[in-house]
Amino acid sequence: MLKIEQVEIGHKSVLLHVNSLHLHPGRMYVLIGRNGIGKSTLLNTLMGRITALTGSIQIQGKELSSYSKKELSKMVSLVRSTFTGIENLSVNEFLTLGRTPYTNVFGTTQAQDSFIVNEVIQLLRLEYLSGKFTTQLSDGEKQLATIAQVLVQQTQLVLLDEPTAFLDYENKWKILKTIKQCTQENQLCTIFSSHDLEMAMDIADYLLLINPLTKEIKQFGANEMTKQELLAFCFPNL
Amino acid sequence: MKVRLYERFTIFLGLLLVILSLLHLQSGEVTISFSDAWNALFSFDEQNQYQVIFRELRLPRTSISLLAGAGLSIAGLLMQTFFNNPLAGPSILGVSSGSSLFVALALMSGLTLFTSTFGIITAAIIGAFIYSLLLLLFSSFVRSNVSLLIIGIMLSSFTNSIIQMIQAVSDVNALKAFTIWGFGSLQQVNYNQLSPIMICFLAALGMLVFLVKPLNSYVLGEDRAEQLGINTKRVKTMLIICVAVFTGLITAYCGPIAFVGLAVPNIVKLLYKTCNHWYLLTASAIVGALLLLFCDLIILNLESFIQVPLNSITSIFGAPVVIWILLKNNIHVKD
Repeated sequence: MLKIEQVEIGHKSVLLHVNSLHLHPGRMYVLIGRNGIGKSTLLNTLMGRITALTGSIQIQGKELSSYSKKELSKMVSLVRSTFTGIENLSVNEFLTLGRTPYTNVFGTTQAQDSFIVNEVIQLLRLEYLSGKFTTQLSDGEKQLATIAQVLVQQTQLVLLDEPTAFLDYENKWKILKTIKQCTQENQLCTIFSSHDLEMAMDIADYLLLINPLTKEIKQFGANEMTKQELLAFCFPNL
Repeated sequence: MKVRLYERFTIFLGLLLVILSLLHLQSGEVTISFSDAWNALFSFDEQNQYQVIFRELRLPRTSISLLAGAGLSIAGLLMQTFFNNPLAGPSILGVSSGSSLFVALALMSGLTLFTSTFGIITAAIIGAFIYSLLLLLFSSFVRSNVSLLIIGIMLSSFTNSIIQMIQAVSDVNALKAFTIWGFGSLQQVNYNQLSPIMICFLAALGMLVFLVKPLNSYVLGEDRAEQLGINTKRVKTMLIICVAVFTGLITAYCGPIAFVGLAVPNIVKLLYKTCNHWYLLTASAIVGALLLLFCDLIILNLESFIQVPLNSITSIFGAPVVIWILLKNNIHVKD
């Protein structure tokens, strides 16, 4: 699904580097590292918004840089945790906008588009929200809605930038379980960054850890490590 | 279900517009028969006073009211969605003053190339375009909605001072013409100017059709729009051209009309409660035209007592809308 080989990431100077990472569909990866180390930069690089300084990033066997914006919008999506709701935009309209990459030049939606929207609504059990306006949602519901919109977009690679930030304990679990469920059922490859270490270790299949000394991203199985080892790897100054 | 309701309401507004247009065409000292109106268009007789009145005064005034109301409201909606700011509009952010400046410069130059209909339209559109670009530049530095608003107001004060300096050195007749123009007026257009105005207007409308889908996703923010496969660079260019054509065209002929572009889209959003720009654009155009026709009807009916400048009427409607938006959004001013 996603192959990263000998890649250096950063805006102008190198922030992070990756020797070799192969990520597969149907698996959930959590990205852990201290603040400012370049987690968002990595996600933005995978989105194609920042070009990697060196090396090769391939999605489905094709170089990231050779994708057009339109093609990329059907392949990768990024969820941020900053959605605050938009006035006069209903949840249904909000979800339907996720179909934008597939509609014609006038944005006309087909029966198939509303079918997919309804499917996602059922999958996440959001029926009770669909008539509401996005400004009326609670923080947890807003986060669920953004995830739902990305599912409607049907990209196989889904990146989530701290999807659990600002949420209470119950909502954190709910969001992560939802992501896990969708990852397995739809064979997605999901990468999410998080500072909720215990939860992330519990629910993710693999850990992508950033060592601040070597500035390198390494992949570990979620069961391979204890929390102490993880802390020692990611936060050696602790 | 909901879609049908929107459509019915839009049709209702459209019918209202037709009625108000007919009423507007018939407002004035004399009543014009249908046959005179028909002949004025298709077999014009210069000797017939009624036909002359219809062709040279009534028809241009009604037409430009419709176009100005629709054009400014569309420009306002485009700016509001693009800047993600309910307080945006062509007059308040200084785009109209950009047009005014270039029109003033064109008139001042005294060159026939610039003072022709074509020259003035071009100057006004270029002015609006440059000022839109300036706003785009500023908007990338400021994060708050209110800051952009203040920058816009400063931009127009700055420009208006330059215009006043230009006026100070122009002769009395030019000064008088420019002052009347500055009040905003729907009486400056003649029959022959209607077709070039109409052509520019329709060209911009044609471009607008391709902006609906991008605008709908821009509601989610430029960032997300780009993720959804929207070519943001192209959209920006097209959007600025559209705003410039609508604002420039109307400003060239009617003067800087205040508040319509700001107020109408907000009223429409309140009525429709949707972010679908097919409805928002159509309804803004209709409601804008309705509002300006209504304002001009007031002016026409007061004409025998006092001459009211158009801008004072639109401001009476528009300024409270701004205050209302500020109060409503007080709780969550962006960032």
